[in-house]
This record gives sequence, structure tokens and C-alpha cells, in this order.
Amino acid sequence: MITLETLLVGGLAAAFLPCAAMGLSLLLGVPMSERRSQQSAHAQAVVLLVVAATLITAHVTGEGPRELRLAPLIEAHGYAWTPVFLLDRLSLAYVALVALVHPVVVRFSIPAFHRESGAQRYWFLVSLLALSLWLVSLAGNIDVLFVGWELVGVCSVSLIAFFRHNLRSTENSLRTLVYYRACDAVMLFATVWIHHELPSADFTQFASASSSKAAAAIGTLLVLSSLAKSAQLPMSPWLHRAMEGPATSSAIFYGALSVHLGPWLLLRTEPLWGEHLLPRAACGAIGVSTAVYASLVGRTRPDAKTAIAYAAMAQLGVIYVEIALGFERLALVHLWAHAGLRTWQFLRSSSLIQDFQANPLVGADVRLRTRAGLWRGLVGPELERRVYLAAMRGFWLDAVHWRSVARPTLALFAWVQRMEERALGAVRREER
Amino acid sequence: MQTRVGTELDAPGDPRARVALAIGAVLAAVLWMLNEPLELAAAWLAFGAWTVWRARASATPRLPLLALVGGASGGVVLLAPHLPQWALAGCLVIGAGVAPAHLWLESLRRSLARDEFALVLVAQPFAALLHGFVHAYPDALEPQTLAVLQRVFVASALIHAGLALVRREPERVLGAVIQSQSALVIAGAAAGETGWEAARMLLASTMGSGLVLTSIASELRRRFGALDAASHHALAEAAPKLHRLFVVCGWTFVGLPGGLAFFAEDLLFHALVDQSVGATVGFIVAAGFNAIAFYRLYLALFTGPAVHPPHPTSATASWKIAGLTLAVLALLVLGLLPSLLVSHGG
Repeated sequence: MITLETLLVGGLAAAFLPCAAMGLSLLLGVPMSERRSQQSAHAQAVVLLVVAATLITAHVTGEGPRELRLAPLIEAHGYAWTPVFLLDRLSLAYVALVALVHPVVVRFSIPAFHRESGAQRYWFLVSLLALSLWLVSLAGNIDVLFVGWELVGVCSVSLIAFFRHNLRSTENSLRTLVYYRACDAVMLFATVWIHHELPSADFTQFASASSSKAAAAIGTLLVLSSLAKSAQLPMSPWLHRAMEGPATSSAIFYGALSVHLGPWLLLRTEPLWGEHLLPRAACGAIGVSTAVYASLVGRTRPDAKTAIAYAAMAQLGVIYVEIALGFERLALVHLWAHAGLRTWQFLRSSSLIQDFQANPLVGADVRLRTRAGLWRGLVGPELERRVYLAAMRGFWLDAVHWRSVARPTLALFAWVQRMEERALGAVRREER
Repeated sequence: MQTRVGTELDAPGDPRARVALAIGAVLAAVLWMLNEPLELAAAWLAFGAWTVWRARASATPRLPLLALVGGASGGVVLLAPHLPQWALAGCLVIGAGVAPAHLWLESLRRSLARDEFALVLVAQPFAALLHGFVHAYPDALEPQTLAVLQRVFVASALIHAGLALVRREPERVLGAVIQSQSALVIAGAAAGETGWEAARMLLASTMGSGLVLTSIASELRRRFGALDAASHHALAEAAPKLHRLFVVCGWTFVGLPGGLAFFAEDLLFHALVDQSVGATVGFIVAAGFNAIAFYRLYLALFTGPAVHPPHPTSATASWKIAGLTLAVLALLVLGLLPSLLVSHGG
């Protein structure tokens, strides 16, 4: 009799093995053939799909929510890092999404990466992403979630820099990492605080800890930590830069799975902070402002991938608002539907023109209709022109971040370095 | 401003330089093996004498005055543990090369050959000194002094991590990241039993990863000449093996899950938060800066437009690649099985 524990551990091992094989082969400089890499990724996708289907069946047929606790990886003086997994409706909903989207992306990637230099690197990163997403989805405590969360971030920045001879790709990859690390630092602090203040870091205990004094503050930190992954204001400017990566990875990261981790984190931790106004208000305000911002900026983008990215950002803002208003189930359904739509749009973005010309349903004479009549009537042409110009420049968000955060930080440390040089210069003169 | 470093001794294959480096490595190893304060002080001073000897033998021979002060401070700590708390703390801060008292280390960097300075960083003699001191005199430092020292070390980690963001020479970027991690190790060591366990893990990670990364940087310099972290060199195709080792080791070094540093930092955060929320925040920010600094350096060295592909002067010896690969694999295995390095205290 196969138990749920065996199935779960087997599923994670199945996700881990292709990654480990491809990773080791890359590290040791013994490259796999293209076919072998594809087969590994394909096998991983199929096995994960089967395991997900079995887990969901077991849950639906009466197993109910289950918490699975493995042996601690590390124990020292009262501290233990224990892998805990949670099988409930929420985790299985995201696992199902991952299990369905991942094989589609793998299928689309096979022709896209045929004879492409660095294809094995791509397959390795996509397989590692699948493993990371499983860890995030099934995490039963904040520690396991953080591991998957970090790995998703590293896969994301590595894939943005996939075309490593392209200078813009590498620069955008670094920028994305900066946004991710800023929010990961907040999440790490929230994690440490959870361990410090709450009786348990397990998600099943969050509801009983919601009356804790720290719950509102921790909840607010969790809202802030979710912003970079979901490109919500003010951590939005990286998303259009991430489009430098391959279209298939854009689909899985920025259309389907990675960008939805923010709302998913909020849904998962909502029992802890849901009763408090501060995190809800923060979540709602961020969602509304991002929806408006992305909607305006997205209308000024000339290329398909960037326009879709901004459209996704706007919808994510709406999902944040739904969570803030307490419509968790609606948010989950919205998340699912949105992920499916964006995956399809990103995957088809490369052949958009052909779709418009050849699709008999759309027809060759399709034109994007302008629906600016009402808007123009409300705001007037002058204000409309100003808003359009501001949206064209992304409301100067990049410049604001650079001037208010990045440049002062770098200037401070450049000053420290100059002081160091000056002090040592004086010492050297004395020595002479 | 880029500064000149006494690197003319770096001439590859110079047997005297190799012997000198081997002597330094042996002295550093001895430093880690001793526990008795007198023996440790003797080993510390011997290591200091080695650095002075090498500095005097450099292309711009001069006495590293600041380094002498730093070395002497370390010796004082071991030989006079009953000094007033402020004096002990001051000597420890100077001896450990904590910012801004790290200038003696920076001065030493300018005097020593690159490989020799890399040894000073990777061997972590400061951690050995502090470990030995606390082992020999467990009650010498009062809790308040320890708390102050902890904050000073975290601040130092933050400053070094910030410096890594603005430095341009690859070895200096790595040096700043290693110094930042070392300061975090020492800050953790001051955080009770859990902190000791975490510090031990982070120390192993820092020494192992520091060795691999500085060796790769040194090898790249030997093969491709001076490199600058402010521009792109696109070396991924020209040095594929070094590229792979650098990226894997670098990510694990800065705390990616799967590496030893991940669990060490996690454990350290939990140890620190009990003592100081401010220090924990500083620690987290420093760790974030270190990751950004590493990735910036990685992108600069190995990516970018290959308009003028560099021509390597010689290949990397296969024994070097094998050694570095083994070190990276060991770090990965320890990252997956961290309990191998932790005693299961109650």
C-alpha cells in the first residue's frame, strides 16, 4: 500500500533527480545530449503530473488536509530545520496548476531550443524551477516555503540572463536580482520573526496564532515580501526587463507560475494576518495602485510580450485587491484562470502576427479598436496627453528608484572606499 | 580609484613564492590546531611574522606598520586576558580587522602578493584567534561587551558588503565579500551555543568557498590578464570549467538553498534575533548585498558581448580543476546534509 508520505517523497525525489543529473553533468563538464536533456525534463513533467493527480484524488476521496513531517535536516540547541509538507485544497490547487502548465512549457520548449547553444542549461533551470514550485506549493511551514521561494528567484534571474552575450539581458538580470533580494530580505526577517514570536512556524498553527501581538506586523512584512515576485508597486520595474529571456521561460515565470507566487503566499499565510487591518489595507492599496499603473503603462507598450507583462501585472493587482477584501476563493479561481490565459498568450506571442493573419476566427481585417471615447470625455485631451507621456515613461519609477535608493547607497559606499584610500594614502606617505 | 598592489611576486612558477605560500599555509593550519593561549599566541605571532616577511619581500618593500599594530593587538588579547573590558574589546576589534580597524588588512593587501593575501583571507586567522581566546578564557568578556562586539561585527559585515558593491577589481570584490562573511561568522560566534554551531558551519562555507572563488579569480587573471568588474569580459566560453565552478560555488557561498551557507545563515539569524533585532536586520541586509555583489562580479567576468573574445595564455591545469570541483562537491554535499557539521546539543 503506497501511503501519501511515500507518494509525496517519491514525487519530490522524481522532481529532484533530473535536476541533480543535469546539474552534475553541467558542473562536471560532461554535457548530456540534447535528446537526453529533453527526455529528463519530459519525464520529470510526466511524473509530477501523475503524482499531482494521485495526490488530488486522495484528497478529494476523503483523505482531507494532511500534514507530513519528515526528519529534521538539522537540530542544534533547541533549533530544528524540519521539512514539513501540507496537503490541503490550497496547496493542491497550486500543485495542479504547476503540474498542468509545466508539461505545456516543456512541450513548447523542445522545438524552441532545438540546437540552441546552452539548451541543457535551459532544461536544468526549468527542471529546477519545477522542483522549487513544488516545494513552495506543498510547504507546510515557512522554512520550506522560503527554500523554494529562493530557488525560484535564482532560476528566474538565471533565465533572464540566458542569452549571455546580450548585454541588456545580463543588466536586466542583475536589476531583477536586486528587486528579488530586497523582498527576500523582508521575507527572511518575517521568517525569523515568526520563529521568534509565534509558537510554531507551521501553517496549520497560523490561525491559532492570529491573535498574537506580532501577527499584524508579520502579515505586513509578508505582504511586502511578496511584491517583487508579483511585480507589484513599488517593485514593478523589473517585469518588462525580464522579457529579455526566452519566450517559453517568460511564459512559465511571468505569465503563469512565478508571478502568482505573491498572491499564493498571501493566501497561504492569510489565517495569520487576515483579522488585522494593517496588512489588509497594505495589500489592497498596493493592488489598486498597481492595477491602475500597469493598466496605463501597458497601453503604451509597442511589443506583445511587454504589453502582456503589464496586463498580467494589472490582473495581479486585482487579485491582491480580492485578497484584501477577503474573497480568498475568488482570488484562487482568478489566479488559476489568469495563469492559464497568460501562459497561452506568452507562448503564442512570438507568432502573434501570423495568428492575426491566418486565424479564420479572427480574420485578416482585425483592427485593435480604440475605446478612448469615454476616457477622453472625462479627462480632456490635455490631461490625456500628459498621462500618456507619463505612462510611456513608466511614471519614472525606474528613475525614482535609482535616485532615491540605488544611487545614494552606492554613493555612500563609494565614499567609504574613498575614505579608505585617503587614509591609507596618508599612512603610505608616513611610511616613506 | 584603482590602487596598485604588490603583485609582482605573482610571477607564475616562481619556486620561492610557492615555498613562501606553503609556509604561510602551514602556519595558518597550525593556528587552527592549537588551543593553549601561549601556543596560540606564538602561532599568531609567527603568522604575523610571515606576513611581515612577505611584505618586505614584495616589489615595493616596506614595513606594514598598520599590520604590525593589528597583529600585536591580537597577541595582546591572548597574552593579557585580564585587561579592562574596553581594552580587550578594542584589541579584538583591531586584531580581527573589523571596519574601520580593517585598514591594517587593506594595507597588508597592498604589500602582499595576491595569492598570499588570499591565504590571509581564506585561512581566517582572525576567527582562529577569537575562537582560541574564547576557548581559553570563556569568562573574560562580559555579556555587555559581547553584545557591543556583536553589533560592531555586524556593522563591519555591512560595510564590507557595501564595499563589495563598488569595488572593481575581482579579487577585491571577493575579498570584501569574504571579509563580510567573516564578520558575520564572528558575530554569530558571540551569540551563544546556537551561534557557535552556526558560526562553525558558516566558517567552513566561507573557507571552502573563499578558497574556490579566489583561486578561480587568480586563475582568470593568470590566463586573461587584469579584469575589471565594471565591464563585461564574456569568459564563459573561453573558460567554461572555471565558469561553472564559479557560478555554483558563488551561489552557495551567498546563501542559496543547497549550499552550506544557507543553513548556517538561517541558524545564525535565529541565534542573533534573540540578542538584537537591529543586528539581525544588519545581518540580513549584509547577506543580501553579498549576493548582489557576487552576481554582479559573475556577470562581469563571464557574460557580455563577445566582440573581442579573449585569448587565454594557457589552459588551467587539470589537477586544479579537479581539486576545485571536489571542493565544490563537498560544499554541496554538506549543504544537503548540514547535520554532519552540527553537534545535536540539547
